[in-house]
Amino acid sequence: MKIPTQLKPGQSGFNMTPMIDVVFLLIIFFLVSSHLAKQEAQMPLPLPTAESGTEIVDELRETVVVNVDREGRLLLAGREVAADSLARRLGEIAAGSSERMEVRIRCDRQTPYAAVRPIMLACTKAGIWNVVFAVIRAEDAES
Amino acid sequence: MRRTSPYAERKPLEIVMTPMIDVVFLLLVFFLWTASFQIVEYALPSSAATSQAAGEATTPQEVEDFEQVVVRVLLQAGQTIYQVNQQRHVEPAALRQTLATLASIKNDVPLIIDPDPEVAMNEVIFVYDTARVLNFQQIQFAVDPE
Repeated sequence: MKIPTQLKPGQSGFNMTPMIDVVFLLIIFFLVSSHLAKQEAQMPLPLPTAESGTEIVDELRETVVVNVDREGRLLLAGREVAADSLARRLGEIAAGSSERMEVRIRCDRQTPYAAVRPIMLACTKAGIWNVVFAVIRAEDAES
Repeated sequence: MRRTSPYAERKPLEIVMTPMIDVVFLLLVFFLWTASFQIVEYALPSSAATSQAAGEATTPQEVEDFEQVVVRVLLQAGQTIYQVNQQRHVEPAALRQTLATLASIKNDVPLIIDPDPEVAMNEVIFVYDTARVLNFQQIQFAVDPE
């Protein structure tokens, strides 16, 4: 491609290349920053490993993520909640959402089952049957 | 008459580096962005059992005729023990073998996982995952209503 370096007299000097470059950079910047903002919502946890996990499809499904840390603290939307108030809040969320609502439990692999059991019970009470565990592949856990 | 060459007025070739550097930077940023540094997560669907699983499981049953499979996950002296109906296993491979045998006889019976409260979730998920891999049709978690 021949790039004009010198303008002849009488030719208007509209060089589009830098503008396109800047626009592309801005597009990429906003894409990256929105991607990172999305990732921030996921609390880093060493998830349990499983072979039979299926790929997560976001679709139109409404997902409520409950994080459980190693000490068994329950975190809903980044805030710690008690087991009984979790049941109430899940009930409220379930009442105002579609039947396809999903509760995703992200727990540390060392979390005792006692910490996760109230979530499952809360989901059952709230009428949410779509409960999934977030897992990773064993080979990813080793790396 | 001397003919002028059509190439006589051509300027020497200049290599402009700026657009190339711009493009290279753009490509670099793009590939860095698309490269996934995060571990991919998968979903493991579950269901909670509403029945009193543990109580029903205490009656000994013949292997040939079983209505349900109850897998208890116990923690004794820091060691995880898997109890399939009344059979105890320490090794995960032994549990897998037993469940594979049961699945080959009848895989449409409910398999109920009843872990002790102090058992780590990794063990619970392991039992659940093994049952899924072995194609058990109904896998449920025992949840005590209290």
